[in-house]
Amino acid sequence: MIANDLLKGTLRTIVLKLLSENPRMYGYEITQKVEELSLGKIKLTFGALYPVLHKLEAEGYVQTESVSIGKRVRIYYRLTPEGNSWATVKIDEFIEFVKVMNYVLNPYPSVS
Amino acid sequence: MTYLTDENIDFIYDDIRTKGITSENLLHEMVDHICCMLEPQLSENNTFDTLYQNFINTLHQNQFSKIQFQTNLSTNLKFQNMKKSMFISGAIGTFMLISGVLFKINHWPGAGIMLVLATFIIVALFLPTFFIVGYRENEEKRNLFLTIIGYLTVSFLILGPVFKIMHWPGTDFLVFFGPLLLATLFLPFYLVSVFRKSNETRTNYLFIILLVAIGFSFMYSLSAVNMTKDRIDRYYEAYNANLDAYELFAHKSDSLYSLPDSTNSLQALGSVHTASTALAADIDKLMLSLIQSANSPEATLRNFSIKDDKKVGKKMLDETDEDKILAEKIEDFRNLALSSTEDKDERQILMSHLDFTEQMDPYEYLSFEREPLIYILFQLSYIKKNIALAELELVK
Repeated sequence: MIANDLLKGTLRTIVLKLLSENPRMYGYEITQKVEELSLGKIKLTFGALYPVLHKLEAEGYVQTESVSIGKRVRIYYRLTPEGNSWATVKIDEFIEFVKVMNYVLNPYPSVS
Repeated sequence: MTYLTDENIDFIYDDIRTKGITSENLLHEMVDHICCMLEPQLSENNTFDTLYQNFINTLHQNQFSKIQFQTNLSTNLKFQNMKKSMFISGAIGTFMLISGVLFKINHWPGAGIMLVLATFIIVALFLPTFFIVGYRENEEKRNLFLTIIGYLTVSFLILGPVFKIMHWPGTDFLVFFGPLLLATLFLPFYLVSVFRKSNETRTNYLFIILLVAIGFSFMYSLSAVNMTKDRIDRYYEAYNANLDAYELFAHKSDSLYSLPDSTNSLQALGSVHTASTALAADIDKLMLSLIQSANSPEATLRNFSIKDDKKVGKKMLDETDEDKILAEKIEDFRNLALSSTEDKDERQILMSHLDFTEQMDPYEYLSFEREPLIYILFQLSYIKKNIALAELELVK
């Protein structure tokens, strides 16, 4: 399991990345996808996910559409054009960060 | 896969609504999310009721109202902008404050404006937003009293030194009540509120409190330290040199007066001479009374040991208006000296000797409150020396 405090700052990037690869997604789908991609190591709680999604919406990076499924309503999220370009920037930034962290934590990789 | 019935879904809607989810979209999402989680597990053995109850049991108390609270905060753009402006004003204010202090230490021009502006930004923009953000981000146990006390304490602690540097009235009040508020109200109440928090955050907060307390005590202890020996010696040397110079100039003027070919205009300078001698005597008297009040009654202008007493200046000003009287006398003398010559260059030289507000920081000129004795003596002896210099300029 990945510790919660490590996830805190990266949740936005993860959500943006998933939305940039899929035309539209709903909350539960995102948690399932993250769990699947991380081989079960990242379990998003809805308590963490929904405030982030709503913030992205308020900032205009994603838009929502509601679809009724019987008695319940499913809210889908998709990136706006603005959100799309912003996502690219954020994802690149994060990949760069992971690379740098890798150098820092592992300065002398063993030659195999 | 079995699906939840309409009754089940209605039940979840009602339950979550009563548990604190109020906004429409969030409610739909949560219900959908929970349905998606439960549906794959539904079977003959696992009925909706048990599954739902098990799920609710895994959550913290108030989990739903917390989610609603956090969503409201993160979608409240006004609040988010406030947070941004907090960081920006904090960064600018701190940067200006540090530069202002640096300028002040080096006596570069503009230090006063920077300090005042930085203080304004910090006290009027950064701190209010900082405390409001802290207050609003706290979901439970909001404490308005502590927020206000916190704001007042930090403001006083910052305003005190700045008021002192600027020589503004009210310094004593701020410097006294800042640390008092910190010690008697803010720290006790803050500690109590921190101990009500969970263990994990508690250590962090305690650490911050310790740092703040250490920082401020250190700062305040520094302000109590008197001048360094090195600076006292330098001021003492300059003070003695001023006294020596006065005697030299006065002697030279006297010898010029007594020249046999002294003209009528020299005779006309008699009033200037009388005034300068009287003023010098007044300054001597003032210096001597300061020295004797800090030392013993036997001390003289040239022989005394305690030089960094910071209280004598204030004591004198509390008892008399000596500073204002002296400032008036100096101005009278300057007008007298200026009126006794028509020569433009000469008048300019006189002004350069006698306009002390030009030569010194206007805040420091004859401002003796909390200044060390030797600094006051240095300033007075400097004025005395320049009076003799101005007279000599006229006699020449």
